[in-house]
Amino acid sequence: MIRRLPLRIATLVILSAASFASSDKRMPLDDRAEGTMPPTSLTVESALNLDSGLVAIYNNIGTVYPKGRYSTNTGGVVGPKNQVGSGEYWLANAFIPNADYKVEKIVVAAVLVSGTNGLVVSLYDDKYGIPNSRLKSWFVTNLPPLGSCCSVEVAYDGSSVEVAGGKQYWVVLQTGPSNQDTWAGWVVNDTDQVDPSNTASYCSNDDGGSSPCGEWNDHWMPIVEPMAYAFAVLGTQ
Amino acid sequence: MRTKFALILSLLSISLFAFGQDTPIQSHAYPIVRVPPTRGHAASTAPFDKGLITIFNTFATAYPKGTYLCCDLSYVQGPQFDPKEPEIWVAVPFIPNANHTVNRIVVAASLFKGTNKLVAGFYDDDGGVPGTLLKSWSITDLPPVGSCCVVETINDDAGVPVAGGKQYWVALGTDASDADTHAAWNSNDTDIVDAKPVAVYCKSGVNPQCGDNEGWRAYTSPLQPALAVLGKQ
Repeated sequence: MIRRLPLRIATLVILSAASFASSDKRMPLDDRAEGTMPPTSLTVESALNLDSGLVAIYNNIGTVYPKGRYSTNTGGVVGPKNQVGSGEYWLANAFIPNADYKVEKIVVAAVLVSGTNGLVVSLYDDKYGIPNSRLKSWFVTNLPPLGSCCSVEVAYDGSSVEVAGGKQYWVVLQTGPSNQDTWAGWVVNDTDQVDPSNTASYCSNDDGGSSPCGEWNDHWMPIVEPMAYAFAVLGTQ
Repeated sequence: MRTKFALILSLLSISLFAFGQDTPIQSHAYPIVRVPPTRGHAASTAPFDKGLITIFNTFATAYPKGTYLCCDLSYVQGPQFDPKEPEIWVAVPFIPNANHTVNRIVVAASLFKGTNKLVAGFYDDDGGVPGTLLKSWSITDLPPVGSCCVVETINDDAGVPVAGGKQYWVALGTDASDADTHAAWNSNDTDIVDAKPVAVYCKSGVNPQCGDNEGWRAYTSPLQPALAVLGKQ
């Protein structure tokens, strides 16, 4: 009688593939080597605690409604040894700082479907509208299960990364050596479902899986989505 | 190539229909439909502005570009939009905390296809489902499904008196003038955690598609259609 349609983050516009140059396969992800993280799943109030002296460089996580921090829609992030049977698949969402900052903390809303309960959260610079060089990565754990709301994950280790005002950067959710079987989801924000957002996806079936990545295999594909993934970037000036 | 990638995106996206912990998806679970997003428009906050008391509201008025969920929907459809489909109406309850006169109702509805119109009905309660129809209005100019954040506003200067502590229902349905309408009522995004009451009216057409659900049936769901009821004291 009533159908349930599988979620699909619609691709409104696929930008011209200006560059096929970026290939993260040649960029080792020594995720756990970059700092052992404490439990990283927190309430939004704790995660976005701006009383700590940090400012929001970018934030689309809802702060007004405690039971509606983000949407129910997610995009999939899967490692190469996932249970989906697909290629490795990562997601990225761009942001542009309005001034020079030092990024200290990245907050994301991710959920776990199956596999190792952890994700690599990375900060990349931009080249031709897609993620380019990885500037720093963190490993977040304790993702809540698919279907829950409203905790978030915090990537933070006390150090910082400088970003320049007016330049585009990318927050990336990806898998690494220690979570190759992870199938997770990056939840979509619900505070702005109107303005388009620059996102990108990375597909690779080199290490397993059978889904066709086609000519985008091992490359970032830029996608303009009607809604951004839920995340915040915090730092100091 | 793009088709292949759309397929990949579809495969890798995750369905979250049972958002919240207490609503297993089974034959009698409250039906929520998910659709891809389309570009929308920021909503005016005018429907919620001064002069009227907010009697009930689940719209995220703090976020003009996210006042409801663009893409989680409850079907509202007339008996003629598809001969294989039943007629479906949806209703959301509210309980005024005092005696009021309802002068404005705000809903978030959107159109799949058919006549761009729905009927909004105001009901009292009968055992936990809509009872007697107290008043009804037509709403038109529904935006396309998958967009945010236009809302439909019903203004009624005469108003409908309601008693504090009693449950009432606002329903979206169809009548003879929009029997071919296939529309939806968008879910609220201010609370996707707690199970909340909803009622669905199902009337089979050619086939007995409603099962034992013919007529109004009560459900609970973390995703409740977005509704605001405003008025005077």
